[in-house]
Amino acid sequence: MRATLHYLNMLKNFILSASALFIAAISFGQDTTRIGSIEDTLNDNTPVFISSLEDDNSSGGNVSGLLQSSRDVFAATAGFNFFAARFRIRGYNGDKTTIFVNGVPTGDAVTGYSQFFKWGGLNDVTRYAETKKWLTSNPYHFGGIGGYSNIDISATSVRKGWRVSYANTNRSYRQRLMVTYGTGMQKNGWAFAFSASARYAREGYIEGTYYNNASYYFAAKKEINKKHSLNFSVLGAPRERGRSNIFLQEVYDLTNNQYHNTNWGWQTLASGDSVKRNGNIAREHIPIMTINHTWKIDEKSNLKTSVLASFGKRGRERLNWYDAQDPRPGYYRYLPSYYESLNDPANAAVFRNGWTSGNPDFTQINWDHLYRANDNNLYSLDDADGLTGNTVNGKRSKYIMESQWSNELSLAFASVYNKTFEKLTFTAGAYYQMQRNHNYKTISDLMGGDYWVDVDQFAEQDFLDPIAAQNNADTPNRTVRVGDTFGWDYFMHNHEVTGFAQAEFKLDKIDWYAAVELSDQLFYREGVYKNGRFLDNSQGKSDVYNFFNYSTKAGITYKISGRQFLTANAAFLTEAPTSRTVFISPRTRDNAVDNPINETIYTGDISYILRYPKLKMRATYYYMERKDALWSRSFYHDEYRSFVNYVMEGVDQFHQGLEFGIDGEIVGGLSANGVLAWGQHLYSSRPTASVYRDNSAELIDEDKLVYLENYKIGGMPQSAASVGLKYSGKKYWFAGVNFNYFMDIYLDPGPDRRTAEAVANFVESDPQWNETLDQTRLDNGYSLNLIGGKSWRMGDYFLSLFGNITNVTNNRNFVTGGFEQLRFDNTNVGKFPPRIGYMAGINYFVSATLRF
Amino acid sequence: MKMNKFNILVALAAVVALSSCKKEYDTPPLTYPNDVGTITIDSLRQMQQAQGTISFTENQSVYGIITMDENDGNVYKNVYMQDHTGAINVRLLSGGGLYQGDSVRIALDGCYLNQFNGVLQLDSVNADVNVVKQSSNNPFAPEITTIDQLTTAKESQLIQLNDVQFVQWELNNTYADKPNLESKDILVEDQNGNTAVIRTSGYSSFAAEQIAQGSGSIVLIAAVYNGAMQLLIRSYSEINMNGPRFTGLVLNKDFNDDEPLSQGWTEEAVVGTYASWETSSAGGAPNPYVVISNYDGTSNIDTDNWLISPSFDLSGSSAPSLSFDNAENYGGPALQLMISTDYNSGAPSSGTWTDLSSFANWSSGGFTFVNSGDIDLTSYIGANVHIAFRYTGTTSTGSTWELDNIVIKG
Repeated sequence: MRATLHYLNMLKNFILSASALFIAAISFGQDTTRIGSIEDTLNDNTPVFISSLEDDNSSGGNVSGLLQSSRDVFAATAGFNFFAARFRIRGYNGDKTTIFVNGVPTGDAVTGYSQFFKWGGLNDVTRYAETKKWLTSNPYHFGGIGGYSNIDISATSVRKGWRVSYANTNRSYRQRLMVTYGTGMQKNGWAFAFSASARYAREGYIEGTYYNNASYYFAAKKEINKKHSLNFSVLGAPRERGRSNIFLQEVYDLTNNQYHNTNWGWQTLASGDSVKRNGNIAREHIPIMTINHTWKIDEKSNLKTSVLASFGKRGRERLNWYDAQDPRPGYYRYLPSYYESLNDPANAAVFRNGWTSGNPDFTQINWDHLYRANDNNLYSLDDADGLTGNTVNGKRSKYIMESQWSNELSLAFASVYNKTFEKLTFTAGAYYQMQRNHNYKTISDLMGGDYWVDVDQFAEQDFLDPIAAQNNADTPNRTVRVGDTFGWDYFMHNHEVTGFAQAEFKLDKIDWYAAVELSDQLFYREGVYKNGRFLDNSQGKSDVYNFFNYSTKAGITYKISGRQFLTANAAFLTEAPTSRTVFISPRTRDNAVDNPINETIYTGDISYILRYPKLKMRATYYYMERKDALWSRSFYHDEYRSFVNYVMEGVDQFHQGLEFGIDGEIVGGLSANGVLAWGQHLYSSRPTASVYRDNSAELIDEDKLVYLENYKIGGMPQSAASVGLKYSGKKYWFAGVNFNYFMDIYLDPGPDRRTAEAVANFVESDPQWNETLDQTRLDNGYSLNLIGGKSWRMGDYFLSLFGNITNVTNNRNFVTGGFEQLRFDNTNVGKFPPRIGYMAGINYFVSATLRF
Repeated sequence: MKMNKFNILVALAAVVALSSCKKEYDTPPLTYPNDVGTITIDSLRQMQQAQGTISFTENQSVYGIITMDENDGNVYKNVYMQDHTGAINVRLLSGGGLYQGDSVRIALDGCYLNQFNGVLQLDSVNADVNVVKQSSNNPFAPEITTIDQLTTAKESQLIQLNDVQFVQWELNNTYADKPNLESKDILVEDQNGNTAVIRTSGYSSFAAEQIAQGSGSIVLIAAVYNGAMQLLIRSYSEINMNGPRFTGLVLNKDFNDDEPLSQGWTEEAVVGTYASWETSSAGGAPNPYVVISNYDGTSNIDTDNWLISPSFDLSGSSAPSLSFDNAENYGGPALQLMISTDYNSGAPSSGTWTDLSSFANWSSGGFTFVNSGDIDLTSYIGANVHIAFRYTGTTSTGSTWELDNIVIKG
């Protein structure tokens, strides 16, 4: 025994040193990965997710990992087994679930969404988030209609002792090392905790992707006296990822690879070797710092007050080009179908051969070619940098890598008072948040050129006045180099203040609660650049948009017995539109939607719940109506022959469905579980669209009726089911299997195809009529997942192994989603087909954790 | 606790290192096409004339200066290039990358040499692959010439016309049809009454600008379309026509657009509906003229038909004159030339017309075109003048009359 302990101590020291070296080492490593699917899972079946399909312009894109520690079998299954199919509970977007950190809401004020990247990788800290995934009372804040999660990052949230784990997987990253230590509350009244985590993949599941992440966490808590305690926590998760994209079926067919990634290409080094370079890189590092004060006023009441600050950088690095060919291999004119549609079989054959033979000049970015084009582009720029007669000679880059930043600075203050009476708990809180996002672009790489000129190519073509093409009219013909800001530069300011109150009664047969919230939100844009197309409304502060809102909810639980419950909840609320949708094209100007109005949401659910020791069941019916939402996007419109901003007002949605989950022991350690989600998620109105020319803000079309009613909300299975078995052995091991089935998956409808104008050239009997209007429905799909683990105790050491295999049958034919391209040509309906993504094939995750 | 702090420091150091560590990529080794022999633009022209379309498989190189680029949008995926022997239209595989004043070497491997609408064209040039830039911003002076010297011998060359102006009836128009993105032809004239066609793309950045009002100079590419000159404005900033206008054309109807009633001309059938003004190129005419006859193949039909000009303004003119070409056959009633200063529209009887037929030279038959000679219109100076050609025939007789090149000088 003694020898074993000695060995374990050695191992501990080794791991601690190795982790330090590893963390340091990976920061110098780099290269190639892919966007993840399921990220992590642990013995307690509590996955944390990151989004799998990105880049889509559907609002559903942000599948947003749900932190899931609920023991509710429905929520747990939806979180882990349904994740790969992009299932969303009740069809809600991530903005309907509020994520709290130490009781402070952390949603992004610009979009409303939670920002999981801020704490990615810190699973030891976020694992035990308190989560409820439905309408419920909430001890922190009014919260979202999709429920809430609260991540406790105080020093006492981390279990006393060390926890060291290593994980190996073949998903977005390959390896993960985590070290966590907590002192627990010590006799001197202090508690400390820290965690460090690193995730790394030189190349992830998808070719050309890579993953670098090193996360850190530190917290200190002091119990000043019996009434007061203070906590300070900081965490951050700097990350860099080389990304993948989803693409057209044509590309998958041509390459015979449903995971083909066009984001990367080979670049020749001076040595003559070639490396894979990714042309679409995401970087984030926005740490959170918070100070929390808890005041136990007396036995029955307390006041918790927090200040939270979060600031850092978030950017996307990608290609840009000027007066040059589109460098992206998947551009529609580089695909054989384009030439086939032009009846040009010769070129179609050239491109078909290029793609099918796997010639990287066709299938990937040709970096060397881009460098050569830059190197050869001698150019004399007259009147450069705002100086008449100043001529700059040199290689003007045609292709660059640029970084688009949205850097956040947010400060939040939250204070919540709780008082318990005999049968009543009363909660009241106030919350204030300011968030400032600085949006701008910088040059990352001139790729062999000497300079870039800060002008807009499309405006150069459209307008005679040379000032119109200037992105920064204060310095016309500005030459910019690596690190310089260019293109656009503006701040978005958001402020929100809320107050809420809640009463919860616990009676013998009945529990009930009611809550009300009042809130005020305002936002405005502040432009740094004077844009040459919008000399009067691009620089300085815009109008301030202010929205007052109120929310109410109430719920009741009827206790049929101690084991059987009936619950009912209802909420009515209004919600402000986000600054992202109200400003039509904030990169260039402060034009906004005329008279934006609040959304209105009605929702309710009723449940029947069983809670026996060996049988747990929940059956729920829910209903949600959302009215008067705004929707705005920008895209190239073929009919107007212009890049347009497209704004829909009065977008209504209707959600209803059944949720059923059952988990029961059959015999011995064997238990079975079953989950069914049946949902109906529809658009339920005919919104009106306004279309603006992006370059001039000219209103091209207004009150254009979009026949969206009864189209399905896309990008997720409307319904899903799962059946599973789990065996828990006596010697601390378990194994489980789940079969999952996904139904009613649609692509979200592009609005402009559902207008009278889109089908004006056709009659109903033409095939183009339905081709234009019909919504794409994807095939149903399935997956089979295995999960298992075992733990040992050796003295004070606990070792646990955990693993899962998802998509055991390696089903590679399941299209889980995608999006219709908004660009659409009504003379050739199939010209811009949807982009789709396939569920990843068989993949695994294994981890070993040592606690001591 | 010691270990604790150490790890935090390492983690933070790693974080800083990670956020500051961005991969720098070096410029890859670059290769450019070699040059196996220089060839002039004139040699290319002779090669094409001798051999037809040529597909190059070797890197012979042609050197030249880019004289017109795509920047003003008047050409797309096209530039013009000139050397000391001539000029050529260069058609690019994709737009962009070649700019006015660039001195370039074009390596010909993969390119084609052909004739496109009668113009020598170097086709399928990839600006990033075939072109090696030598230098940029080279001055290249246009050849100053006159409209009457413009021939296809100057095909694709950079020229400048001095002391010219746009014709009067276009002055309220734009250079092209921007809303519909359609090209437009506009006449430019000199003081000797010579005209040339300037063609402008609806995609050009100045398509929606009002046409220059005065006289002066303009820099152009002497573009050719199937044997006819079709000049291209290289850049809006090179239209320097702010001088006072000289006496120019007031009206020019040459029917070369194959439309009898374009430019505001109308037809009024007072008697009979069979006979109508139609364009024709019969008899080997180099370009269309207009013709009318009341003979339907078996018999003559009673006819009184007027071809009426748009209203034109002579109020600024000192000695306006009219001329036109005419031809006749099958002897019948004479064609009448009429003029009115109070007609507006509709039936000819709504205005007062004066018969000017006696001042014109008329064809004596056999479809032989004669020129009318200059007919003095000084007596009709005013702001709202119409001329008309009145064709009459009876059930027993009728001529065939042909008209062309109806010109009124201010």
